[in-house]
Amino acid sequence: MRLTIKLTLAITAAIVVVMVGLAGVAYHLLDDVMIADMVQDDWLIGRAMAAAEEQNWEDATKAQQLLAEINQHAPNLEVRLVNLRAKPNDSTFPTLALGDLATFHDDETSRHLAVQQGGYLYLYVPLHVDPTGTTALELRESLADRDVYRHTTLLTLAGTAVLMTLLSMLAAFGVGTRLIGRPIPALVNFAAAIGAGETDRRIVLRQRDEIGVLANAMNTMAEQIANAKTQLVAEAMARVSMVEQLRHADRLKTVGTLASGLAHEIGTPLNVIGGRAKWLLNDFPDDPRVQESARIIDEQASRINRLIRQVLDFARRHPSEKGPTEVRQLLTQAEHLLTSFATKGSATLKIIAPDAPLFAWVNRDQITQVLTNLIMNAVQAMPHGGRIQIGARPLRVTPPLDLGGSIGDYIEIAVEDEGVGIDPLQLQRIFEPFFTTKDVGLGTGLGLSIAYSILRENDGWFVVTSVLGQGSRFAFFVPATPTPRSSHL
Amino acid sequence: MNPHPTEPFTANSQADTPSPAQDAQPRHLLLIEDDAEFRKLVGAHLRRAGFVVTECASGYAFVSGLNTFTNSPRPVDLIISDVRVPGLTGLEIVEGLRALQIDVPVIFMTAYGDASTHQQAQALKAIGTFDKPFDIEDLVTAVQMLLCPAAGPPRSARP
Repeated sequence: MRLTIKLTLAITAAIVVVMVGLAGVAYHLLDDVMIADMVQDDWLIGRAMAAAEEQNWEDATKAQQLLAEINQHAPNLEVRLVNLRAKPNDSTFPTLALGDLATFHDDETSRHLAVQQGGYLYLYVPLHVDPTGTTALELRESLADRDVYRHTTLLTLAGTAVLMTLLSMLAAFGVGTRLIGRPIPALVNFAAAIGAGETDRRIVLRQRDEIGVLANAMNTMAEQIANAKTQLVAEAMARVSMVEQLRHADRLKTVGTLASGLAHEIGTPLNVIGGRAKWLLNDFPDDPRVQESARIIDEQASRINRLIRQVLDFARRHPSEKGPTEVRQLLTQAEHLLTSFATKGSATLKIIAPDAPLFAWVNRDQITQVLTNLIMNAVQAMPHGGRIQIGARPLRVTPPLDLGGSIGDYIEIAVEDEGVGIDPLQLQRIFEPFFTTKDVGLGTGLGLSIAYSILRENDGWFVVTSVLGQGSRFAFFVPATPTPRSSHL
Repeated sequence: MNPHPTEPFTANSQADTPSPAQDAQPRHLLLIEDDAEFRKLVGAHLRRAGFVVTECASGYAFVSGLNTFTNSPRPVDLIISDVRVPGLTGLEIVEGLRALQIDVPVIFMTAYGDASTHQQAQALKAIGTFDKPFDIEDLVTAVQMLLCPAAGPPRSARP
């Protein structure tokens, strides 16, 4: 707004200067024209009078009468006879001291002898009545009218100038506001908004001038910033996910190394414990107390053994051989395998799969292991029983970044239960080794970690969703492969 | 692989007094295992089954007694060795024996052995590999079947 005011003031000042100049020039021109008019009129009257006087010069009374008559008819004009040689005290002494008489004799020159003095305009017209040529008519006209006219002109000019100035000021202010006063604050607000992160905002100015160009440039800039921001966020997310994956892999490796190191140390003493227990069982067949204790010791040692073997299975993973695997067959097989287990937990299994064969490029045994693990978890997630849906379908999806990240054909295998669901906080940790929500002794916390590793080896990944109290859906994706021609499967 | 024939066979690896043999020619087993408790347990089971057992606690002990072992009037019929023992590992011991053209049968024991251990053992023509923890009776049965195939039911001290 300040810019508008400054511009308006500058324009107004310029206009004032021009107006004052114009008014001055006009005023002086008008004044000159008026004086010239008066001189012309007076001179014409003077010439006419002079002619009349010259004609009636012999008759002094008539001449006198003519003078009186003209003086009476023209109230502003006073005409009298003067003698240029008259003494200052004479009635015919001219009011003004006239210069060179030679020039005075010429009529045309005398006309320019008009002089303003003491509020009057004096004009002398020579009378050619005596050879010396010292007689003249003195015309005296009051300048009062001219002063009034001058005053009016001045007022009109000043009024016009003020009006024009005001009008131009208004116009300058209006245009300034429209072209600068309004768009500039809008641009400033826009820039501030972008600075504050509202990069999806745009500014619309209809102007085609520099400010309009600036607005367009700022819109482009906002778009570039928005794009850069989106890209940055995407990159940051990808990096976070990558780090997360690496950390997970690292954790799995550490656990594996630790576990196998520990297992080697535990194996021998565990064998001694189990062996000694068996020894006691054999040596004291008749002592029930020894029998019971030895049996419990043996059982517990076996349990530790099973646990360690699981840990080692997890730690020692060999590169798996992959091949085209029919997924529906896999599902049916898992269903047969686990129906009795599910029935014991009053759960029912249902397979949902398309009629056409679905081939995945995976290690058959490993994926069976993952599927079995998921179904068993689903059964255990439903303490009061319920339905478990096992589905498979082909999908075209984009895998996570660490698997390449470009869209491709995959097969989604999903196990959906109606169980207790998983707390969102726990959901983040389910693939961590040794993380378990099952009661002590029921799970090692390795099942899903192993499943996770298996999927990685098979270029697959998990997508898990869960709603507390409603159930969970464990889906995993594995690369699809065209139906093989040879039927060795 | 570098035996020291000049050094004497250490005392602690000398055989226990064998349990009364049921036939004239009890079989002689060499048991290499660094864990004393486990060695005692396995040794006791084998002796109870009627075998003569020489116990050896480490690769060092075995190597230093090698000369005596090879010239022993009582040949060893079978070596049962842990894979991970101080000094030479069980695998290295057997490798050395094979290099010396001694084709004595071998059974390995290993704590949670992985596939590569089993493969190495197979390459050394081992009879088998037992993953600890295992049922010691299974080992005894395997030894009996290997050394006394014609003897019918295993001779066991079990009731």
